[in-house]
Amino acid sequence: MTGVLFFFVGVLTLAGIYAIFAQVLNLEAGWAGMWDLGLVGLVAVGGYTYIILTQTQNDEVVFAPGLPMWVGIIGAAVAGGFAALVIGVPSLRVRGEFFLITTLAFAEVIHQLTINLSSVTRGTVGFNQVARPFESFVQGRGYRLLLLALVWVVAGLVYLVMRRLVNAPYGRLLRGFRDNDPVALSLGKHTNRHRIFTFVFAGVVYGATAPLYLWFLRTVTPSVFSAEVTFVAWTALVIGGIASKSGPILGAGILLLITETVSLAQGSGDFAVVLSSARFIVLGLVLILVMRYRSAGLISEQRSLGGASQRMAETAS
Amino acid sequence: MTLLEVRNVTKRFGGVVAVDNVSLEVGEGEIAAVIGPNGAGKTTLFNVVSGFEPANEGTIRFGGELVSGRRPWQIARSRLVRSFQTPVGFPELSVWENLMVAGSERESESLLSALGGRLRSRQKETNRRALDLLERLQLGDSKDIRLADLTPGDIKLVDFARQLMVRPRMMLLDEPASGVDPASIGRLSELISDVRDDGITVLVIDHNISFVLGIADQVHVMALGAVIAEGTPDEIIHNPAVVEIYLGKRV
Repeated sequence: MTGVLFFFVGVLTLAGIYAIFAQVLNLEAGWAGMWDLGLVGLVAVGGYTYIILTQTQNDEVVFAPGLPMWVGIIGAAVAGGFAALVIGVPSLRVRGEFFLITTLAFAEVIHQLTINLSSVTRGTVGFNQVARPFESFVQGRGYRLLLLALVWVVAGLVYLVMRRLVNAPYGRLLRGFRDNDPVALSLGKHTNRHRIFTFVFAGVVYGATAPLYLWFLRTVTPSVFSAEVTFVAWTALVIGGIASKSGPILGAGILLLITETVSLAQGSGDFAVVLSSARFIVLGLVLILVMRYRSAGLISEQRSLGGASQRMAETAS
Repeated sequence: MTLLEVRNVTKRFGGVVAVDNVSLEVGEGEIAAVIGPNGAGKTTLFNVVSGFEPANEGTIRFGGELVSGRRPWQIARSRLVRSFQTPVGFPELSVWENLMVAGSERESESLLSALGGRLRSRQKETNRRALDLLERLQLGDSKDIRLADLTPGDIKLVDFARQLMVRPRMMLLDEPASGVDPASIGRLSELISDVRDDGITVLVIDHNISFVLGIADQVHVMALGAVIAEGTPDEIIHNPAVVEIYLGKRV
């Protein structure tokens, strides 16, 4: 019984991590209209920066400074933001499709680098010692509960920041030029500058929160940063409701609960193979059902932000 | 005093000369119009003036300053604003939000000020202007409606109001009367005259000759990329070259 309970603790922790990623993706894609297909690349940059900076295992790598965790987190945030700046500046200058392709390619480049730069990243072997906070106070199952709480506190903080952003003039402008860039330009808005700032900010948040993902997995290999991370975050966002405030959180919760619960079913070895592919079938099915019956997602932009004008008018006057 | 000066502007698309050595001047406080048949190069001229298309040759000055070569948002910041033929605006935002985007100051809409939160004070004044403008256009009841849910005529009005929120010195209106029902055209003419009385210069493109001749002080007629006639509405209707392109040659 407790085994099943702790299985769900794990599922909910992972759901919380995806709730964070999907919310940041929502800022980029849902509000600013930048379709990022390579968010896992930014998560990987943050994750590897953290693990390398905090690493003490120096048997096979050239660089293992063993810095404190908070330095690792700040380093991860800076590296994520810097990576976003490097890919954002050239690709956001041109049309939206270029951004989509560039981010997709960027994630693949990062993936290959993590495999091939083995003197720094330990290649496909990766790291199996991840420095985690509060480990000296809480161990074992207690730590899993602590991590669950920590992840959801961060997801909640991200929610508060995102809510603040979308209700500000900044968020209103993003949602405006997402649908009509020429009109925003004709009003004197330097839309590209806003896009670059937004993408860099997204990179910072992906980078800073990537350590949570590592604390959960307790291992770092190139395969944990596969394209699947990007697609699960996208699916969660689309199911929950793109461009709504709480949609990405709801979507991540529902999606992860459904897909991970499938793996709880037990049976023979052959059956396990069927089950592992069943996750994707279930994911596809959920997506199809939501698209068929609620194309704007479970919470629509209109429902989430439609009354914003009234609220803001009252607070402003 | 000349506010907008277009001098010898040419714009080519491959072998097609869309705007052919066009020169025209619009005086401050004037309502000027560019008329001409489809494909005459009117909209291309607007795109060049507003910075959306770079000119191949020629210069554009606004308020004495050289603006050709600047980016669209830079030109708009010198308070020369334009509208578009299809006035979709920001469809997912409410009518009120559409105006607020236009009226918000640069500093208040940055990511940093959204994170840091010194927003309210400046927004107050913008909010009041937006509500006043909506009242004036009789759109007060629609302020919380999503723009995409309005009628095409009302979307045009919001388009007009959105431009006014920038406090323009000059407005370029691309076919403001198209898609507006005949009964509302009179109201539109009044609005444009009101705006001029507030000191805003207007340059309008339209197909609707009676609408244009009714409001304009100066009319520039374009055909095949070139300006073929200029003058007051009265002079234009008696100009044989203009009569020919609109009514055909007398046999």
